[in-house]
Amino acid sequence: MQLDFHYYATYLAAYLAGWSHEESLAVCYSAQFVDCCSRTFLKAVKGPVAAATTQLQLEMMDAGTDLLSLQDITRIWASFHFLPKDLYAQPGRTTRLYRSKYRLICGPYSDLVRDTVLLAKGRSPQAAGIAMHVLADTWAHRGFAGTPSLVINNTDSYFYELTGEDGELKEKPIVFRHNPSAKDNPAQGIYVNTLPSPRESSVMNLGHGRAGHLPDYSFMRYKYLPAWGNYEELVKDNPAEYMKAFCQMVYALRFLKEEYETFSPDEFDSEKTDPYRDEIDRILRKRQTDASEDWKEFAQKITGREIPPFDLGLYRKAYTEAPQAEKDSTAPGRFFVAAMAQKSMVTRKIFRSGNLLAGVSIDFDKYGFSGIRDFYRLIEYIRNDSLPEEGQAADDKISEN
Amino acid sequence: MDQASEYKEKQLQQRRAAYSLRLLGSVTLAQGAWAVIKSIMSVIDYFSGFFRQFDNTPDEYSFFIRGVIYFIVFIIILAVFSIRFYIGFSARADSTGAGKTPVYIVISCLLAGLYAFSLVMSLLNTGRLSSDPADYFVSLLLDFTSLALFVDLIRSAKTCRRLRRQLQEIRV
Repeated sequence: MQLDFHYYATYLAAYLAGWSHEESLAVCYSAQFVDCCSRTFLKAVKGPVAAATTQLQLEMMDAGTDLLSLQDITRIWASFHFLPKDLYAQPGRTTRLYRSKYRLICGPYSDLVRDTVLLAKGRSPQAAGIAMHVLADTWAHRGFAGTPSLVINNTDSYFYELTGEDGELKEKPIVFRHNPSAKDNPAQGIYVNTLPSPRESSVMNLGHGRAGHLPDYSFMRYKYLPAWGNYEELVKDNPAEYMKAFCQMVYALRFLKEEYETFSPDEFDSEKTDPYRDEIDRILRKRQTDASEDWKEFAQKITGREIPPFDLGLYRKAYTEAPQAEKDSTAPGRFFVAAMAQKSMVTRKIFRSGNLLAGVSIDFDKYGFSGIRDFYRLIEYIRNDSLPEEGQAADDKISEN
Repeated sequence: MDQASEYKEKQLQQRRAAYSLRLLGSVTLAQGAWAVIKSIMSVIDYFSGFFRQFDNTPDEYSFFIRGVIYFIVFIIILAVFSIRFYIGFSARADSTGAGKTPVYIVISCLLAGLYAFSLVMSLLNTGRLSSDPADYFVSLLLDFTSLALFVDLIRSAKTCRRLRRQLQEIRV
């Protein structure tokens, strides 16, 4: 998914779930920030690089394809953008390596989604924002894995857009171009994807690169043959799935607001969302590559409040201007800790399932193992089971702007 | 198995056969291209020595003979490649449903028969084994590979066409 859903739709979901305007802004800002918190950004603000939640294209170009680099890539992408659906899936008689990669395929309704939301319970709005980003992406990125793998993530020329009504669907072949600087042209059915690479661990085969931006467009309905699918078609109905993602976000945010005692990954909210379903559906089905304006207008109409555009500089400024002792109390500081918690949780689960693609996970707190310095603050965070004293400065700035 | 499941299962099998057919068609094209390159290299090597006999008294007649021989050899090489060219492209077209006639399957059967014959003759005639064992085994391997290629191509083509017909009947 992209900014329109991660920022504006998440804001609306939080507001409908009963969060205040300021809290909703903190949640949605954090949700969108997951797509921006790269190592480059963290080094610029002198933040903990272990809290990286994404990798820029330039960083990917410099990334190696040795074992450790691949594990590093997998840790980030599987933890925040391609949450595995079933870490114990059995794909039949396969090699161990293929089975490990197959088990990283992303999808909704997973135990890890439940764990992600539970991890954010009682934590900061930033933790909730990260959880919402991860939850939403399990719907959009269904069928792809957060590890570079040709045999899992590859696609071929069998790629069709589905148009028309459900009773009379028409198939239109999708033409992919490999020009990274060109824009997609939905009107002519021309889209950009990554170059085909025959190397198994090429970054071209990471995530949904081979399907271009199609999974992130809410209006797209398409079908293709995933490499792991054994010649079976995978049909993606993004408008319907995005609607489910939105309803599940509202339900999750109501749970985080303590309206519910338990969270189940196969439940959705209808009470708060039904009155707006038609309008949301209209926005989702509108044929446009960026629905930000529509979501913003709709959210502002419901809340009666102005939603500031997403500004990466706010977190940068808040973190760099804070005194060293208070950095963890700022909004970006809380985001970094929550991101490390999420990454630790997912990596630990992957490792404990017998899968080494995300590397080795060591319980620092339990074994007193001196490891990455960045994670010391995470251990303190878990030990105290509370946030550092919350500083309001950064959150206020976001809502004022 | 109800009709919907049966249709879906046949669809999967047909797709698998179609992908296999397309791949084998591409391999046939590549094999043909390699056969051309190999033949040209062999011809150049052989006729260089052959024509050296005429170089003592070069005249227009010897140049003409040379030109005619090269031209005939070139036509033969082209014919050899054209057959594989036709089979390869027909297989690829048939994999997408664009191919109509099964002529390429018949030609593939003939070629498969020829390769099988060549393989059997090579196995029976072990005289070359003592004189040039490497060449003997490489030839055997290539003949076997080509035979396997055409057998698999024929099998995939027939499966693909049969299932496509059955799927059309079910749809109707």
